[in-house]
Amino acid sequence: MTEHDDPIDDPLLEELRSLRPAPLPPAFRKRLSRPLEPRRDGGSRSTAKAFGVVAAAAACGLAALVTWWTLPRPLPIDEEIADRPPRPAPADDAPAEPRHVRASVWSYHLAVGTSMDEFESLLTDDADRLLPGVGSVEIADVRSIDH
Amino acid sequence: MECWENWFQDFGPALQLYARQLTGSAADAEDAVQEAFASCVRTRPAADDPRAFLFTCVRNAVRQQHRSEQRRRTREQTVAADAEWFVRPEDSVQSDERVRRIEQAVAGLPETQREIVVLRIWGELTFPQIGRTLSISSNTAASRFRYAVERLRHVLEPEHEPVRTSRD
Repeated sequence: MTEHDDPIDDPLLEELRSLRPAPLPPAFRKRLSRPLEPRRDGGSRSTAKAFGVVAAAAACGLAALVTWWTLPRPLPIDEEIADRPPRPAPADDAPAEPRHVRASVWSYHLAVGTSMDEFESLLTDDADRLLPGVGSVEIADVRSIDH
Repeated sequence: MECWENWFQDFGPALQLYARQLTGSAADAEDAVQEAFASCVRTRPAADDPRAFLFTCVRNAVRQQHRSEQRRRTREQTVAADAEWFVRPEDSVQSDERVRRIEQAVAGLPETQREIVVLRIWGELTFPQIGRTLSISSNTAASRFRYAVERLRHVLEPEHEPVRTSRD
């Protein structure tokens, strides 16, 4: 007997000891046996799950890399320029070819505030000075110009 | 596997009763007991004291549960006596009403005393084992047990006379 021993002949303690704790529910035994089964691979479930996540991420990354690698890519600028046919050199003595200009006066008309007649006479009188090398100028009807 | 089968037979009900003291819910208690057995299988405790180890595992599992706020709320909303704690032996002279009174009296103890009563009476742990399980001294465990028994006596045997101990 030690100082920690329970009182002897204590009917209350005897009564309490006579009670048995309620058994675990029958379904609990089945539930219990599931996680206690030894795993054949010897690893834990959390380890297996983590490995699966890492493997899936690696597979996705590899697939993305292959897709990117096989996509058609634009040629580098240097290669593109090299592939162009060379432009013919301009002949210095070739006469300038008169060009026909169809002038759009819509923006000028609005900005300067001139009338169509004034603008037309301006272009007609000073065409050589304003548009050198231009053979003829056609003033399009403002309303017919498609903006 | 034989090992835990035997432990399950021997300690399962007492572990469940102990877990109920800490969780207040039969469902949470079952979770804690399951975790305790799973810990046993994982860690292969020293075979010389599996009983104390299992109770410690239950306590740790309940602590883990307590970290979940949701679990705490559920536990507080759950009536502690959501299932019967004890079964009355067939040859017992106790009435069902008396058994329910005992349950209520034990449930009315402070938790620090209640868990020691369960570990001592139904877990059949010694005070040194209880001390190791709860991280307290065996003297503290013994004194808390004495206070708890006196409280139970006051509730269950109001007319009782003080008992004599082996040291008297």
